[in-house]
Order: sequence, then C-alpha cells, then structure tokens
Amino acid sequence: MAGAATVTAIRPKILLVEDDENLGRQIVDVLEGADLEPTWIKNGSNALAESPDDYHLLILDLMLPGAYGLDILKTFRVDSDVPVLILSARNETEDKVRALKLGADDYVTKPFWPDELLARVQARMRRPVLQRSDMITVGELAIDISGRRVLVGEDPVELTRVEFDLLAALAKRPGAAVPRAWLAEHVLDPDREGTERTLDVHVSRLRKKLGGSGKCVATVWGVGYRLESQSSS
Amino acid sequence: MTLRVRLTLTILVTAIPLVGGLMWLRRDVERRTVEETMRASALAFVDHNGWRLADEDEAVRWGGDVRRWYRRPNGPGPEGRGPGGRRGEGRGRSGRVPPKKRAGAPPGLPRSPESGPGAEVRRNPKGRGGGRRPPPPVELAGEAVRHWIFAYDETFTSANPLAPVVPEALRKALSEEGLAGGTCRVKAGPDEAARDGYEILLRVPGQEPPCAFVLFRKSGGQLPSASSELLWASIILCGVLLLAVLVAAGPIVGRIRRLAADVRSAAADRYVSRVPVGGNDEIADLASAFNDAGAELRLNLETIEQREQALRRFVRNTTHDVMIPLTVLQGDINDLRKRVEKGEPPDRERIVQALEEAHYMGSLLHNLSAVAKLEGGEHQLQMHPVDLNALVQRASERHRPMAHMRGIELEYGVPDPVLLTRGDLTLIEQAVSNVIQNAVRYNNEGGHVAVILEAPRNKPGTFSVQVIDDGPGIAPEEMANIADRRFRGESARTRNPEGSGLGLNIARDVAERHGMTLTFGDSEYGGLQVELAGPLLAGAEGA
Repeated sequence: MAGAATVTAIRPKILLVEDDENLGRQIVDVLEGADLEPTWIKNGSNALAESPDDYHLLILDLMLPGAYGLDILKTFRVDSDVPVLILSARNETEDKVRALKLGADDYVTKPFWPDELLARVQARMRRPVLQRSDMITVGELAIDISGRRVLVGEDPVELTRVEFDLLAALAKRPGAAVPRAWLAEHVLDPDREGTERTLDVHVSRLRKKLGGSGKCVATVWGVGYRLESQSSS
Repeated sequence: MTLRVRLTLTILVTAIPLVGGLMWLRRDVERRTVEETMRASALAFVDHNGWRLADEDEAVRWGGDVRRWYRRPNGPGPEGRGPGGRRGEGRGRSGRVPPKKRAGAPPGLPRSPESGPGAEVRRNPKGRGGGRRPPPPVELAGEAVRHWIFAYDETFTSANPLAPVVPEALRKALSEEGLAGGTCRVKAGPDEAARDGYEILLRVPGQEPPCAFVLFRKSGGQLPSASSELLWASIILCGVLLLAVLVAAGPIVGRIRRLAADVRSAAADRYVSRVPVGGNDEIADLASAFNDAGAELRLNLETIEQREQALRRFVRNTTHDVMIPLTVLQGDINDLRKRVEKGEPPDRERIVQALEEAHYMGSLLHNLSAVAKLEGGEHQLQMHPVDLNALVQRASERHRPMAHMRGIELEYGVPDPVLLTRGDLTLIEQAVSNVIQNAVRYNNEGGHVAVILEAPRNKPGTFSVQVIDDGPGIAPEEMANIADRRFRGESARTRNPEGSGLGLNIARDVAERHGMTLTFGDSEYGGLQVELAGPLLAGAEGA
C-alpha cells in the first residue's frame, strides 16, 4: 500500500525510446496529458546509458539506430524488473515472442491510437499495486479481503458469503469487466442453482446493501459486472 | 564414362587377373605333374639299373652321358664303348631324338668348371677312362623328349665331366632333407633350360655310395605350347564375353538414352506430357518414377502459380482499397485545414471519418501481411503458447478508440487466471481483431459490442472468445457464407459495403489452420454473435 501510494502521489516516470521525431513527440504529448513524466531518448546506445530502475515503465521501440530494441531489453532485464512495453512496427510473431521471452510485459503494434497506448501503459502500472494489496478502496468502499469486511465510508456492511465473494472478485480486478459466467462459476455455490440469473439477483441485493456505493457495481453490457469508482461511472 | 566403356573396363579388369591366375594354376599343376612323373621315372630307373652303376667301371659308376647313345644311334660311342644288348636298347631309343638337340652340353645347371663345349663326353677329370663302357640304358617315356642322367656322390661330385655343378643352396637343402629319405628338387631356373625342360635332383634311397644323388634332366615338353594355347583360349573367351555383354547392353543403353530425351522434352513443356513407360523392368520403373516426380512438380508449380496470382490480385485490390481511404483522408484533413484557416469550427463528422479511414488502412495492411502468411503455407506459422487474456485485451483496446468515436460501447471480459492456447500470436490476434472490427464497423451509434473470453464449463479443455453486438445483424441466408467473401476480383472488393468479407475470411482461415472453429450466429441482443473456439494449451488450463 505504501508503494502504491508513492507511485500515485508523484508523477510516474516513463522512459520512451523511439527514434521517429513525429511519433516520439506524439507519445510524449499523450503521456504528459495523462499526468505522466516521460523522458524521450531517440538513440539506442543512449538508452543503454540509462538506469532502468529510475523509471516506473519503459516504452521501447524495436527498430532503433545504434542498438536493437531487444538488445536493450536484454541488457535492462539483467538487473531490473521495471515493466517494459514494446512498440512493434513489423507485426512479426517472432519479434513479439522473443520480446515476451526476454521479459517484455506487453507490446503495442503500430499503427496504434494514443488512447490505446495509454490504456496499456496504465494497465501495466496498475498491476503491481493489485497484487500487493489486501485492502481495496474504490470510492467510499473499502474491502478487506482477508478480514472479509466491507466498509462504506465508516460504516460496516453485513454481507452474505456469496455477496462478499462477489464483491471481492470484482474488487480484485477494479476497472475490469468480469464475465458473468466466470462469476457464476467461482462465486455461487456449485451445489445450489448456480445460474447467471441467480447471480443477477445477488448483485441486485449487494447493490442495495451498499446503498449509495451500490452504483460502483456496474453492469457491463454483454459481459458481466465491474467495480468502478463513482467518478468514472 | 559411358555404360559401354564401363562394362568393357569391368570385364577387362576382371578377366585379366582371372586368366593370369588360371595360367599360373595350369603351370603349377603341370610342374607338379612333371615333377612327380620325373621323380617316379628317376626312382624307377635307379631301382632297375642302380646295381649297374655300382658294378660297372668307375667312370660309368660315376655317371654317364645319355646323349652319347643318342648321338650314335647306329654305332658304338666314341669312348670305351662296351658290348651288350643294353646299349642296343639305348641306341634304338635315341634315334628318335632331333639331331640338333644332341650337340653341346645339356642345358640346365651350370656346368662343372672342367666341362666345355669342346670337352664333350671324352673329358674325364678323373682320367678313369669314362666312356669306355656304356652307361646303362635309359628307360624313359616321351618320344620327343631328351633325358640325361648324372650320378653324384655324397659331396655332389660327379665322375662325369659333363655333369652340372649343383648349387650350394640346393646341396644344403638336399643334404638336410636327404636325411629324411628320397627327395627331389626341380630346377626351373632363369636360363634356357627352364624354358625347355626340367631337372630333378634326388637322393637315391637305399643306394650305396658313391652313387648318392642322381640328377635327372628332361629337355623339351608340352608346357610352352600348352600355355600359349591357354592364353589364346582366354583371350578369345574374353573377347566373346565382351562382345556378348556389349550386345546385351546395347538395347539398355538405347532405352536409357531415349528415356533421357523423353524426360528432357517433358521438362521443356513443364511436365505436362508424360514420359512413355515401356516394358516391365527397372528402366520402366525409372520412367514411372520420372512421371510421378513430374506430376508432383507440376502440382507444386500450379499451386505456386495460383498463390502468386491470388497474391497479385490481392495486392492489386488492396492497393486500390488503400488508395480510396487515403484519398478520403487527404480530403478530410484538407477540409479541416481550410476551415481552420477561415476561422470556422471543424466538422466533427469529417474528423471521425478521417480517423476511421486511417484505422481501416492500418487493419488492411495487417490483413495483407496475415494473408501473405496464410498463403505461404503451414511452415509460415510460428506456434507458441499464447496468452489469450492479453490477446483479447489488446485486440479490444485497438478498436476501442474507434468505437468510442462512433458512439459505440466496446467492452471485454476475461477470466482469472489467464487462459493459454497454442498458435501463431499475430494471426490469432488478427483474427480476433477482425471479428471485433466487424462488430464495431457495422454497428450503429449507441450500439454495443462485448468480447468475452472463457473456458466453457461444458467443454473442458477448450476456450471460447465470443464477440457479441446489438447491431443490425445479418440475414439467415447470408449467415452460412458470411466469411466466404474473398478477394475474387473487382466484384468482391475487400471494402464492399455489404459486409466485412476479407477480415472474417482471414479469421476463419486462421481458425482452421489452428484447429479452431469460427462460428456465426444471432446474438441474444439482436445482432451478430461470432465465436472463436479452440483447445487450451495442454497442462495450462485456467482454473
């Protein structure tokens, strides 16, 4: 939690290694617009001089003058676990598979939308926080996973086992839509009637119990449910 | 090297050592036979006449020159010829010997130092009046063969001046072996005698000194003529054999040449014509094999040509299809520039349209690369474990900005933990992306598209990616062939307004190549529901 707080409090630093002037400038603008702090390096050999641990995330183009993107990745991966996002123009399976094997976390194929890139960057930066936390806060909702307690503001809410499991399952992946079938399979009692209709009934009851924060449990069209902060709903 | 030359060389290389070996064997057998005969004859002679050697006058006892009797068939010998019917026998026999052979010393072993052409039989180193008495008659077989016999004592010394000197090595060997009994040696030296005849030196068994050894010499014989006959026979045999082989090889060589010409002409017309197959032998098999290989090659050529044509057509159509959005894009941006210059507010519709065209071009180029890969065959696929969660996420997020701009809500949901399958990452992602793009593209403003990845409980070991929309959907009669629109020329553009054509077609191709299925149906929301289903990576099933 402390680490997560630090990450969100300061502007996360992003190292961008991209040789193309226009694309590089565009990416820098997008990242700055998302309240991130990008450092743009245009040359592969200059990138190797950087210390990867000074950054929260690396965006690495594969075709670079001076050094091949995968070589930079290999060098950085020797003693750094910083998330790496690969920019690939060739759309070759071989490149992507090698990059993933060398420790890249994800890749984006050109051409891409600025929003698309940003979504991937944010997904990567959010992930470590998720794995570490045991107490999840969404808006006014506070969910203690191990203690099996739920607070709306200061007030504890009494939930049934199924309702809590449902909320916890959504809370473990905040912002992500969880398929209805998956929830029915993993949350409902398999011995009882575990249909998706039953799930909807449980969701309905949960929303009521959460009161004003019930809106956080959003229905996702065609998919299932998602726990989202009220601001985004 | 032609077949004929090879056959000839093979026969020669085989026959020459064979003939040589046979001749050597023939000579060896003859030598042995002669040796045995001479030995037996010599022993028989000594057996019958040995007592005379011991009894007679000293010179006679020490051996005699048989030739003397031959030289004087009608009269007594020049020296001390004694009486006796025995000599008459000798005379009678010697009369048949060719006269020219009678002159000079007998061939064979080197003569003793005292002997010489002039010495003839008169000479007797011991001065014992050798020749005064006739030597014993020689009972030998062979009409045209001359024989000599010389007696030696234990020290290989003969009383006969014409007796050849026995070489030291032979003496030594004979002395040693002589202890063991009657032994003979055949001398076939390098001199004239060797070609003309044989000598045998043997210990006389049971004979008392001074006659301890007897040299029995035979001049003439059958060997040289027999050998040359054999040689000629062998040469003729080789010739006949060679001729037979070449005659037999003739038709084979001819057929092989015809086959080579047929294969060349088949190759010239791209293996359309077949090589004629005649007979039922290896050459016919070879012709059949050429036909099979030609058929295979023709098939491959046709496949390659078809692919090339398809790809050329695709590139032509794609170029056309890229030029249109590019033109629209240029126009839209130009319009935007004009409006900005005039101080007018930009037209949102046209901006969205421009973005859409750009997005479409990106997808088109990715599809072009996917088609190239699919048309290239199985070996182009690079199979690796694929994280389906990340794949669905990437494919959905690629189209989200476009959907958002068009007022369409695009959502996706994935299970936890991740699902893995095996396949070509780029192709599967392109397939899913195409299905999503299709759902977004043909939906209306305010519509929805949902992408759900799951491991269906009723089908363990499989995954399912469902793309559901609430768009207009498609008519039931079109459902079956929705993915059949290929790049079939002008009428079936990749960019036709009725459907997505190419994108879904590629998706189905990718599915088939991976042993997956792509099925189309109506969604519960009124639109289209497309499902990509396939096997999960063995041993990596999500819980």
